[in-house]
Amino acid sequence: MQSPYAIETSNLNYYFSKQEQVLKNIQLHVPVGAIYGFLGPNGAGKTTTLRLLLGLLKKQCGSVKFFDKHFEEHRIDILKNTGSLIEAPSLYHHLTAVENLKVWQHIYQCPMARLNEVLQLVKLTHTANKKVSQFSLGMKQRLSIAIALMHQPRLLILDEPSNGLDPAGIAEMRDLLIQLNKQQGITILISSHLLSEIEKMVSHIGIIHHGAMVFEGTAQQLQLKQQAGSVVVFQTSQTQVALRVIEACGCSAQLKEGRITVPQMENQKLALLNKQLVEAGIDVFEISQQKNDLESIFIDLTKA
Amino acid sequence: MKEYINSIRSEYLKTKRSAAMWLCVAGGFFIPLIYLIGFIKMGHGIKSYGTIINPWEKHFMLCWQNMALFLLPMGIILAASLITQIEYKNNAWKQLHVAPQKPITTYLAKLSVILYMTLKFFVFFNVGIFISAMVPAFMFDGGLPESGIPWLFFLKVNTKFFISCLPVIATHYVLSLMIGNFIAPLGFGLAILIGTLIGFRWEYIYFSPYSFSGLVMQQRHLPINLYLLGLLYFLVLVVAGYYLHQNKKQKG
Repeated sequence: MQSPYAIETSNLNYYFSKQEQVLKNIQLHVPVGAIYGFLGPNGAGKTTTLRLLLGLLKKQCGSVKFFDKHFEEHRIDILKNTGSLIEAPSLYHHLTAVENLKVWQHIYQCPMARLNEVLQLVKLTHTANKKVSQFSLGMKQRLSIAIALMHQPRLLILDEPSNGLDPAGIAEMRDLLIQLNKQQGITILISSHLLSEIEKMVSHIGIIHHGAMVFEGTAQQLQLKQQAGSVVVFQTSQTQVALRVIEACGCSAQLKEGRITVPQMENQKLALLNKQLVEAGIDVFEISQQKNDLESIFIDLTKA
Repeated sequence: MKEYINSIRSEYLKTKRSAAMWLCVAGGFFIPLIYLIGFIKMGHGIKSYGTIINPWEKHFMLCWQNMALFLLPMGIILAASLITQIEYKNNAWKQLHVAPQKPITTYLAKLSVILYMTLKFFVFFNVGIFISAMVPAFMFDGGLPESGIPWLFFLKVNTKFFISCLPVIATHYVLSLMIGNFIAPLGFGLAILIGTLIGFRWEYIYFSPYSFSGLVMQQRHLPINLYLLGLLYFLVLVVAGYYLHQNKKQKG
């Protein structure tokens, strides 16, 4: 039976020195056909993990499997099916976009027509004969993705591909990746330190913190966690009285910097709470939802 | 084999418009151009060398004399470092390491391109020598010298100089692979080359690969076969370089 995972790692550890363990027992499971967001703050170990996956770092222990095949034993077969963009774009600045693609076309042995196809895909046809040194960062990122797509891989590994892109560029990149995933069935592993940047496209999420996986699951599972940690904030004219009213309604409330926070609740219950406060003669200035951000989720997850 | 040839094509494309390519052209034509200017200024061609020896051979060896001792090893140091550094400069090693080809293919393809560029330099240098001899001959001497062009002699001398370059090529290929900046291998090469030139009269100077082209030029009598030693140096350095490159903890 074929493995359901495009990438599967187990017991992946990595030490920069005897004292410095940067990865601790990383168990990564990237399902076939998924867009897997690999999240973590800067220095959490994302790039180290991705470099280990691709053999750019010498593996010290653990196993790495792509489509149920061990990387060391099937390196060339695996790389024929994998496109990657690790950290900053790897482009030859003295060459044009087309020449850069030709460098890889020779290696991948794909037809020349593929050059135009990938340029069209990343919307760089009009700059095909422009030197890469004259490209903006966004264009370089797009060309790097074109290179990663040259050989029609089944799997894309992208390390922070939207680094340095403006919001429009990020949205464009997101649309492109969704299109590749939906139309061509490419499995995508994308790393980022911003949940907001990738949450709109990922189906699965893995969170790494201090070199250890603290969460792995579907995007829905993370959303539930996020909701569980979210709070509603009340700002009123009489904080102490309001606190007692809210507690009398059976909600656990906390006072933080002159504001009352209560756990996330349904809209009807929230409206009822507001009504109680108004009926008690308290002016309600603000009711706002404070969603758990990535950092808070990290803290929650690492505490657990 | 197909993988190797494709990899060479890919590597060669990277040298397009690169500093190494311009160095190869400029370095090849530099000395002949000076001779050409000299001939034009003096108003005569290679016939002025006389008839005791073949004027072609004389002109050829004079050009090599100016090239062999310093310019050739220096050019090789620069070219080998520049070609290898293309990957570091463009942050491209990591992409190359995840290409679906054997590591030995990548290693040998890059080395082959350096060797090919050296060969191209030799071709430009020889073409330059011909031009610098032919133009003044037709301008001032009324045609080429009567003695024929000694093709075999040219081929033999070129081969000897090419072999003399191999250890320096290998040294700088390996150094540039291992050291991620351009200045350090260049500085190392320059220091050893100057040291070699200072001690060029020393009887054991042939142990320094940087002396080989000078020794070929000088035709010094040596207790060992310089060409075999050059090939041995090259082979050992290429094998050791691959081992070191393969065992690098971090690639790219």
